[in-house]
Amino acid sequence: MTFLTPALAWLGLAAASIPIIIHLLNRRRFTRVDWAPMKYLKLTVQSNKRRLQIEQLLLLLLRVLAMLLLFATVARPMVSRGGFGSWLAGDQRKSQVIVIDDSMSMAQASLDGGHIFDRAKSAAIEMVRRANASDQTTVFTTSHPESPLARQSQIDGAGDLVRSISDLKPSHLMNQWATTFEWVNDYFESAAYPIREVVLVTDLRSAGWNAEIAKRTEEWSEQQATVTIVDVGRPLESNQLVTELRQISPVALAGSPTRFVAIVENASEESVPELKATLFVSGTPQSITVPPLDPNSRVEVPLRLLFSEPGRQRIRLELPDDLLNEDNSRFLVVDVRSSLSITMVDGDPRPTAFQSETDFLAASCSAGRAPWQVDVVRSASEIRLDESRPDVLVLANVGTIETDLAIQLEKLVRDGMGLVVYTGELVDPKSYNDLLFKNGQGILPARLKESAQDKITGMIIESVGNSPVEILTQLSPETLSRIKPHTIFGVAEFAADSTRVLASWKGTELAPALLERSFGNGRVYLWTVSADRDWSDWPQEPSFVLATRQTMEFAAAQEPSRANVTAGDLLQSRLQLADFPTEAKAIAPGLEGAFDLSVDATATGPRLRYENTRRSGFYQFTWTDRDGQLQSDDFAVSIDPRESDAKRLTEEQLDTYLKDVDWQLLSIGAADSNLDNQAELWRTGAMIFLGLIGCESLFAAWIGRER
Amino acid sequence: MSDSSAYSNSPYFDPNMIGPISAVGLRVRKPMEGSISGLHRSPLHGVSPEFADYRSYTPGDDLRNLDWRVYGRSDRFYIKRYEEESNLRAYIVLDASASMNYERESGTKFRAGATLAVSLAATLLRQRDAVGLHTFNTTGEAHLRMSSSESQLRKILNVLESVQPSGETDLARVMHSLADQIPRRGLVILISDMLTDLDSLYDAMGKVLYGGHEMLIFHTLDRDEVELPFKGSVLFRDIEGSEELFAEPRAFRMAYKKAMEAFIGQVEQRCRATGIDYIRLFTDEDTGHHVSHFLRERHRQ
Repeated sequence: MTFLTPALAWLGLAAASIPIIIHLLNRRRFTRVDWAPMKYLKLTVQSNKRRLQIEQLLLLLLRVLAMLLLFATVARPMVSRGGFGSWLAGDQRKSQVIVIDDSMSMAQASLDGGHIFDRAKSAAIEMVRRANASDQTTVFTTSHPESPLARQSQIDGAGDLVRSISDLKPSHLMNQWATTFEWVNDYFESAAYPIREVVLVTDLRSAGWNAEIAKRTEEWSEQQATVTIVDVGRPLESNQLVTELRQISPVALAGSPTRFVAIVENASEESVPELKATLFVSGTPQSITVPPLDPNSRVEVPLRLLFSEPGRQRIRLELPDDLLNEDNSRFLVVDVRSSLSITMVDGDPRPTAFQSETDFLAASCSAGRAPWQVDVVRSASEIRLDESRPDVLVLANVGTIETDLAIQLEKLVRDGMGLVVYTGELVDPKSYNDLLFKNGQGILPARLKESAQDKITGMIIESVGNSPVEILTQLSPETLSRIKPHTIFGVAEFAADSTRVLASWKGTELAPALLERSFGNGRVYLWTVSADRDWSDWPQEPSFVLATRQTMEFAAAQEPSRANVTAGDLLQSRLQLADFPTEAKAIAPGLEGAFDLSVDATATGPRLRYENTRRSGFYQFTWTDRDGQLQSDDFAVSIDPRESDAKRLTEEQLDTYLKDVDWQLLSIGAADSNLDNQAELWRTGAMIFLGLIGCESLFAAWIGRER
Repeated sequence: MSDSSAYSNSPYFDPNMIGPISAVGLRVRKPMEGSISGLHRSPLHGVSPEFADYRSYTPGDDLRNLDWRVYGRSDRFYIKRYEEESNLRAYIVLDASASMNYERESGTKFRAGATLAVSLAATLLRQRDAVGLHTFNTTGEAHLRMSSSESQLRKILNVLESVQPSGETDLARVMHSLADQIPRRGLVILISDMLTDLDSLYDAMGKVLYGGHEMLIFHTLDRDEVELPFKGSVLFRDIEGSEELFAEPRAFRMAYKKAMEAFIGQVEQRCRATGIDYIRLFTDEDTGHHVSHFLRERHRQ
């Protein structure tokens, strides 16, 4: 037995001597009487001596015990559960929910060579074993609250449950405790017994704890549920992690270098020397050097990769082992195209070279060895979008837009095609505004006004990030000041949302030069200048080539792929309406073999869906299409870097989250997997104390009666 | 009898006690051998009784001796006394051991006993009976020879006033001694708390009874000695010795009371069995009333 306030217990030992002292002092206070019938007095005393001694001893014992118990109870005794301790603690039937934290941080290595999660499992097993057979117990992991290991069961023997717990592995998820506690409340709703207990076996990392928790735990204080938090965590002194692996180049083309960046963080108080990381590209490893890192700092590691083949490629960056290996890797799937197809519509074709609208554009796009395929058509009527959809469609000074074309453009952009519009003297604003802007609901970023002459002194690149013209900021200011069109197209209101001004003309007032709008899976870029030399000499500048190529790349880039997600997110593949897949299967990391996949029929076509992304790594869907061809789709699931935050909750913070809830914190020894069981006895002690006081009073009255 | 005012300065002379007792008088049941004509039947036969005088009738008197002519004249009852009525020789034996010194609010047992002794002596002397006194303890004895003279009461008072209760109680030895000393049949009145070896005592009293004497025991106790009224812790010291006993009377009061009542009952029972008249007196009672009532009842038997 231990005490929360041992000093009081010691004081109680000393206080227990008070009745004895009083008893002894009382013997010093007496009346002297000279007595004649001594013989009869002695006879009476002798015949009652034993009884009197026993009574006095019992009374003294009761008083000593009462004093001991009073102080012991106030000192808050704790005793191991099970057996007599359990009986003493007065276990009553209760409904108990045991929550095992299996978030990513639980995979932290522990001192004894295992992992913190091993200690968590031991603690959970211990709690299960100590549950009374009459209790109703629910056990679930934070990654799978909907599939508990035991649901409101009366544990008898617990063999199967113990095995299930032993087989658990930590997930790669970041736990949202508010959601977990909602599940606890759900289970309590159908709990049979009024006495409720929640046991959280966790490493007490602060990630996932937020203000929403207090709303969930309000019910616990109303139900007078008790909360026991078993802390199996330990500080994480040193950890390095990859927080991001991202494609920088808008489009990845086979045979053309594609830029990526990896961000590596040193989450420790000590510097880390140069690290040798391994980059796997489609399974082929290569060594990557991560520069030295200062304490609590991060570094960007640029990567240039050359893909030889088109298709979905897998990239994995892996750091050397440390105390938490789960965050050392980051996964990425990249859609590598064989080429970038660009179709340009020349609204004002001319026979003389570099007089047409698209001559300079085509020349810019044909530069270099990148596999860009540029097709130029001389009128909008020549576009054959039904036959093949280009990656980017360019409208250069196209005068009017037909309704059919507008409808087709909207669908294609929504599906992912990029659209770049260059204005010019032939552009009919009404046509564009009616069919492409559509009062802000269309694909055009802004409403066109009229072209007008202005004294432009240069181009300003807006600091908005992820912009095709951001690269121009690397040029000298004089370069940008040479971009001086004499005529630009004015714009009025912008489209409802997702419209950005990426560059502006520096004239009598700032006027948008380049606008961007995301629409569905595609993007639309609107230049308020012509692509030829009618309005400016910019096409002759090298910056025009740079700006044009970047605009095409960004237009070709689709919205962030649903193929790269965070652990816990849904994986899905949307197929064509007419294509109903058969034999749909999924392959997941950590699981052997392929297993059946859910296929949902939606209004836009069949959808393959998979929800159990509790481990990071590469997932794959495979299915057979209507032509009998095997199709596949790859996904990359990475951990949420917030789960690597080593900060632990303090008791004050727990008090805030568990306001008005009766909670206690139990710790588990670093090298000892046995639970430091702390069942409180103060209630039992208080009851016994009251009983003792009652007995003492009754007994004292009884032996004090005349006999 | 001398005027009671002569004895009023004595602590043991209590007219309130003497009055009721004297009104009843003290008689014996057995025939006595007295030196002068007295109240009591004589064992001697063949002597013609001659009228001597009258005395007031007391209930229990033989009605054959009632003078009806006096009744007719005066409407009062008088008994004729005859010359041949023998006087009584009474020995008052008063326990003067230390145990008789137990004192509470009502005074010591010795005082109560001594006052009773004086009252009985006064009654007997009034009856022209002879009375002697014997007080005793282990440290010494005081003996006053039998006499029916008027000065005998004063002598009794003097002796009693000079006695200091002390020492242990050895009643048996005293009774043995008395049995040898008393030459003629008489009445032996024992006033004591009887806190002694009863077996030895009754042996000795048997000897007295064998000598033809009549015995009368006034068992004098303080009520405290039976009730044990003390609260809290008490250190009891043996009044006749050095023994001490620490106890809390409340815890065994009832048991003690039973023991004392058993003791008293045993004394009474043994007295009855041996033909000894017995009365228990508490020091806080109206002794005169109790004794007169007792004597009246005794005379009826």
